[in-house]
Amino acid sequence: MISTELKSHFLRLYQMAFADDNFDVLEMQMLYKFAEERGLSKEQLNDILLNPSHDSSIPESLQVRVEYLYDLAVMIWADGKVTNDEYNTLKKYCKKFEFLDENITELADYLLESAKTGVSKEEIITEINS
Amino acid sequence: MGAIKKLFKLKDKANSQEAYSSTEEAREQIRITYYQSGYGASTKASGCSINLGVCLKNLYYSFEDLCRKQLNEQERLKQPYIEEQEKQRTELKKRETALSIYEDQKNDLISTIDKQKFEMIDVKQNPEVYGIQDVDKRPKAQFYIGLGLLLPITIYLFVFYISASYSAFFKNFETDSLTAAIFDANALKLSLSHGWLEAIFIITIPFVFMGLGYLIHMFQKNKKFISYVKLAALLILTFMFDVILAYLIEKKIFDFDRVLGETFSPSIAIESVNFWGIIFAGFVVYLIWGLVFDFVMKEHENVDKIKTFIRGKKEEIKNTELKKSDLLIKVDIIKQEVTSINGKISELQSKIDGFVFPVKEYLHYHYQYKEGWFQSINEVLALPAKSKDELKTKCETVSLDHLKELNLENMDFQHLVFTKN
Repeated sequence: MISTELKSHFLRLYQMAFADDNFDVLEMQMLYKFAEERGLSKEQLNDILLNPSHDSSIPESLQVRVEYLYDLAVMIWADGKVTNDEYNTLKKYCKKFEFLDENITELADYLLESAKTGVSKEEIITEINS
Repeated sequence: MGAIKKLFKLKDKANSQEAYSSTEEAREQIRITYYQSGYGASTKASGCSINLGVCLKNLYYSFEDLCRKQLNEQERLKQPYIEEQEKQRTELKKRETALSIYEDQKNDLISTIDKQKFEMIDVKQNPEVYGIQDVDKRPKAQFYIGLGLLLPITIYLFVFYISASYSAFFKNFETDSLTAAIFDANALKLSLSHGWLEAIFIITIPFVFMGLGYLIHMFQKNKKFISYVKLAALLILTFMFDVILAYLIEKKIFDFDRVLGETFSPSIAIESVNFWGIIFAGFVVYLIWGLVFDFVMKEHENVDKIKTFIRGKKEEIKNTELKKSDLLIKVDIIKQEVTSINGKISELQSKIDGFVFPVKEYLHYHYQYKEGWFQSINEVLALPAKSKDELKTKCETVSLDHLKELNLENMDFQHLVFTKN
């Protein structure tokens, strides 16, 4: 059984892919890559995307939150460009993930910068936890 | 390192509750809910079109109810109306200020008119207050009295000079009586019988004297030294003319009575009573005529001054009245504007007190619900494709009817406002 949390995450990634009104093939591939990483089959991902659940939930732990947001940032870079809509959507999720309002812009910038330079999720997590 | 940690700092739990109520997210939630409830309801009712009709009605009323309860959301939707109302209030303030300024101006004009009317009456009583000097308070009466005296004296002068000049220049004396010498009752008739030129001569002579009298009046107006010199010269001239007339008459009388050897001389004339009688009956009366004439003219001018003043005031009042009526038109226009602005404000107020129905949002949810419903027909119902299509067509009709009933089928505006009456 796939948790609501994970479902929500993929829906967010899906929305992010759509944020620039252009669902790029690269973004689609990225979405399936994320699914693979999380141990989801193609069918399962399709199921999630076609049957949207209304119970969107955000993860409890800081680590998972950061991971999810970082996924979104990577998703933004999937087609090699950051549009305004994508940037705003990322900020929206940063806010929803209950990070401090005053840090939102900086946080989004940091995530996008890290995603651009290809920093791994683990590196960021260790940095935060250190 | 610390900076990054700080960057990833989370909000307190209490605050996070607030953040969660972000309307954007809530709306997204609702959208999904509608889709799912449409889907669920359709599954349960096996996609029956009658059920869809009822469900859509439910959906509409619950959505409307929800909107009414979402006070913050309503506040947001009403914001444009509140701003518009504020704008209208400012406009109203402006109009009210203008109105009070115009009212003041109107009152000023009214008091000006009153003052002018008062002055029109008061000028007769206190002419000196209005800069009209040397005016008798009863100029009219004095004018008429003067005129009453002037007319007979004028007639007298006419008669005297006609007969005197006739006697002096044309008469042949047949009697030595003085009255016959100075005054000849038949002077006009006789001169006419002698020829029209002679008649014209003696008729026009009095005008010469009256012209001289008129000149006295005119010279008196300018109180300059040269005027007095001219005046004196005129008087002397007239006197000389009279003397010549008297001398000629006296000479004729003397010639009539003459004893042989006697010759007429100025000394004889000066010693004669007739001579002086003619002079006084002519010149002195002429002087009196001149003075009375002068007096009458002065009084007439005084009457004229006051009349001119009153005429001026009437003109002023007319102008002021014109200004006043212009102002009243302006005031009327502003009053109308005030009424219409007040109307707008109360209209906006009723919108603010009422309830804004977000049409587009409702339609969005409506279609979500319908999508869920149709999705369920497609996926859950075990029916042949043809039956499914029929069912969907029926449901489509029900859905359209529902929108028609609410007058929402061709909505191209964002919100529908229900006013509070």
